[in-house]
Amino acid sequence: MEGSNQTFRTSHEDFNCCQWVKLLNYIPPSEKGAHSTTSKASEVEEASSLIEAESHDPMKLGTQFTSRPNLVIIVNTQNLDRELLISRRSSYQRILAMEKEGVQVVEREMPVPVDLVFSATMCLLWYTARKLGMNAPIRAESSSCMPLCIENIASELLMSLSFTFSDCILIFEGDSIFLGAVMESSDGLYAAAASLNMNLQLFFSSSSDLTDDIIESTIRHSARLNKCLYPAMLESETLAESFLTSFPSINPLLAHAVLSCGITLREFLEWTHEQRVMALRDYNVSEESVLLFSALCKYGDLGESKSGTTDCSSLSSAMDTDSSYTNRQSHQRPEIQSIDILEVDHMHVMPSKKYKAGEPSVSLLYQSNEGSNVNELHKKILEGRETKKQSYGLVEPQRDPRHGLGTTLFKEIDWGDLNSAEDATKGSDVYRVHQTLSEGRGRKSQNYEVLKSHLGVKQGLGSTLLKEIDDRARTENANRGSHINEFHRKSVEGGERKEKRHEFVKPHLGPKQGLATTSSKEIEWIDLDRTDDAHEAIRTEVIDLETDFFSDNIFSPMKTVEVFTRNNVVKESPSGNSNDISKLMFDPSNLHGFPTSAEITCDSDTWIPFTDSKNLFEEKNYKKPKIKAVVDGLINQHEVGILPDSKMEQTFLKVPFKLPLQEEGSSSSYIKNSFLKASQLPRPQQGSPWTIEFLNRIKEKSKMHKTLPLCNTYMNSPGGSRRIDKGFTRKSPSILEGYRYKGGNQAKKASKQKFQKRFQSPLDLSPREQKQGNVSSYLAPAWTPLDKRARQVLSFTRNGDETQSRLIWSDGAINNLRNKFQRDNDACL
Amino acid sequence: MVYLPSVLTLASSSLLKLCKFEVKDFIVNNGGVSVAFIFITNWDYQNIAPTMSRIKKLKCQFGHFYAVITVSTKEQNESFIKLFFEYGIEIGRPTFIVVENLEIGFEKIVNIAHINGECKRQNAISKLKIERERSVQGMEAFIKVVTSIPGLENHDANALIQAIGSIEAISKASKEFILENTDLSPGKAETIVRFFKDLKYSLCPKII
Repeated sequence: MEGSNQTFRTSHEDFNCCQWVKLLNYIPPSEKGAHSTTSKASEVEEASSLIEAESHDPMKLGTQFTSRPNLVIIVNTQNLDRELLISRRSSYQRILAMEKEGVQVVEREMPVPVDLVFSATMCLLWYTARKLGMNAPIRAESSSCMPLCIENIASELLMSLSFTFSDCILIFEGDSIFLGAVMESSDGLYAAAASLNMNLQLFFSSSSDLTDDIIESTIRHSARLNKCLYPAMLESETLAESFLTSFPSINPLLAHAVLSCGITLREFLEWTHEQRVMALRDYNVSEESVLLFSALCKYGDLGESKSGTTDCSSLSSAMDTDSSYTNRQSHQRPEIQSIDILEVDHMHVMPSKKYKAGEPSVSLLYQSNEGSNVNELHKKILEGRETKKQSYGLVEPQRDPRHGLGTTLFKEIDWGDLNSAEDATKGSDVYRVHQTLSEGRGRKSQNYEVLKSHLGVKQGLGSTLLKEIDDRARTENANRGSHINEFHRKSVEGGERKEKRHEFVKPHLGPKQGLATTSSKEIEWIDLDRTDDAHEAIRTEVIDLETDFFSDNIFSPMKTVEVFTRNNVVKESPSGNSNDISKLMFDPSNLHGFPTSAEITCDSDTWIPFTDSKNLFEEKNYKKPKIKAVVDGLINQHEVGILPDSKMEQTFLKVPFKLPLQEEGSSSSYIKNSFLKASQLPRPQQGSPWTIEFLNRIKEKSKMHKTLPLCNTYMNSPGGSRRIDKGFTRKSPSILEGYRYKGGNQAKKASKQKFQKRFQSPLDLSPREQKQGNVSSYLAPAWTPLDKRARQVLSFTRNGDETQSRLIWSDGAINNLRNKFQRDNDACL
Repeated sequence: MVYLPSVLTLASSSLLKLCKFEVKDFIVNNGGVSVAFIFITNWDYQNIAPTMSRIKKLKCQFGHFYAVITVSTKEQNESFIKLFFEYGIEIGRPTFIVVENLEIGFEKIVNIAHINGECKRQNAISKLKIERERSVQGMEAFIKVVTSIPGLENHDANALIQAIGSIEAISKASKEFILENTDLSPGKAETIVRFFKDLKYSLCPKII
């Protein structure tokens, strides 16, 4: 910090008066216009005079107009219930050492438990086993607790961070078992990040030194990205900063950015949201944060007619939003339900025939739709986790009898999916195919009611979706049957590759291959009309396509068939005309796909590390490759011999069917969540799968919050009823209240207790690990003295015209500037 | 005993076998969302440049893009971290998912594809955005902000919202208007006006 202080002094002395006035009168062009249009002339004059007056303000001089540091870092000193990075001396000293390189390190007490803030949008959190509630190294058998811990981080912490940060780095530090458990359980974090629209990066550190390296690298990386973005920041929190940071969406660096605009709070508050965004654009501020700021600024407007939705349950309003969205979607595009019978076969990677080492290619296109392959496979994986013993290390898939259970997965995919489509396909050829297939397997048709409950409860889709499936199936399949045969006929004309594909399919089906081959043919043909829709979906999601995948003759119809073939039952096209669909399907000009390796990889545009190229991010105007297609080598799969042996298939039939159980605390609880449903559940459901348990948890949180007394004392007083109905009474708390970080809620305590019961003493560390220093994170931390605070000066000061002086902590630079300012004033007088 | 693979192990087994072909890219479409993955199965720090170049390309073409990287040793993990910063990868562009083995990597791919599909299907991003906006528009947040103005307490905040309204309105209010419509003392009214209008005052250090 000495360097920074020196900067304050020298810059203040060196700058002449003209420079100060010039700098202080600077208003960004966009703001000038905005201000002049929204303010009266007198106010402009007043503001100008104010700014001129401010040119002699030492605080402002010190804050905004000295030479800018390379980077301003905020170190959180607010020790809630979580040990922060600042408490580890070695790490903090290493951060402070970076001040010599032009980085300004500022301490702030932040209400959210972040360790470091690198920019207005990026923060870093550091976790060890100890911080996650473990006082001892995690054991392999206790890794099952990890999902709960991760879930807490995801649901509470990331949610609270999402108000103000959009980029988040999590560092997990510990031994290999701990790190392995985190790696495996990290789905919840990615799920939360995806639903919160946050960028998340996890790093795994095996030692404190590596953690420090990561932090140091992150600082350097941020300095490269945000070089001299912010002016130097005051060591002490100002009144304005305190005011701004009291907004949930404003962190200290964002507040600093606002104050660096050089305008009064009143002016900033007078701006529209767009003007604020424009003014802060140079500081890489999240628009979402500014939006939330604007929302709170407007809260309570007397002229504002507040709708009941704000005060009522936000859950229900979110439900409405959701349902309206869903309805809208369903009107725009018919929902396609699918059955995926041979998804395992299709999950095989298709090696590109043009592929060479180091020449990447988009080789597998695995697509699905609502409630189909990916979702099902995802569920199977979750279930599979329950049965397998996870070891951490590079291992071959365990060939263990215990994995016999895992085969249910395969079975369940088949049967589950078939069941899900059973109702949807009644009356169609597909349904008959399914029936044939089912009989061929020697199984009875599955109970549709069981399916309903299975889908409705476990997937959280509810009866609405099932009803939709039913309805659409009835209406759409009425005119489908005849077209299916048409598809079949056209596809047969497609050529020999299809036959090869069937050969590929056969071995997978094992004992049921005879029937399965037939059915797979038909299902594949049927699936064709789905490809168009899927292509549409892909095209809408893939960005930056400037291509002509329609013009090239890369796609033969059969190639496309192979790439996009899913064993799905497809419903009606948007137009409801299946003939149109079939034409589209077999017209190569309508088929699109993904870039090949050669198209994506461009030798002239290699990604050069910083060691080779100083400014990587300046290189933005590179030529975008054309995206064509990926259709390669399904046959190669067969040729390379990756097909399972027939014995495996035979055993499938021996495994009893059972409904997949979803794992508690798993990833999709955050999305499938159903905070939608939470408010509607009459009571916590017992024995339900993890999705419902998650909902129950949310609901319990909401209830807990609901019972808390309102802090609004005025409204509780008899006389305070003038605007009592304007946002004060919350009929039901927002779901976010439950998410918000409270510094140690019941769930976390529960998980902590669970961990503490399971974990053993730190002495259980192996001597080797102790020698390697892995024990560091489990030992009591070496508390860092308040290095920065120690440099501050306790002095008497007055705010404005206050007559009474008060004792405050201030840094030396401010004191010097203040004294100088005082001397200047005295000299003038 | 007949070995019976699960879907997962079967697929992982296939992936393992296909490693020799270095096939490692996936595009998964779930519920209308295309999620691109690059699966770095064999971590080789020395020969990573082509892969990184490809990552750079793909991140421009896919809104949802993840790089799944298999690191089985500490050394590999350290070299990955080194590479991450050497190449100046922006956070989340793409998200690098570190796994210990192919099996977990494959799980991650399926799960994340599922997650993104569900996100879109549930419209989770929009809903949570709306939720956040609604949640900040509460009396609790309002009081917290207003009481951060020096000298103001909870009941002052309540009086202000009743008489004047929003924070924006409070910032524009004159001292006379505040005194006329609330029971705040002249000193507090003066402080409010000064706090919003006087930059010098608002930039004073907060008194602890």
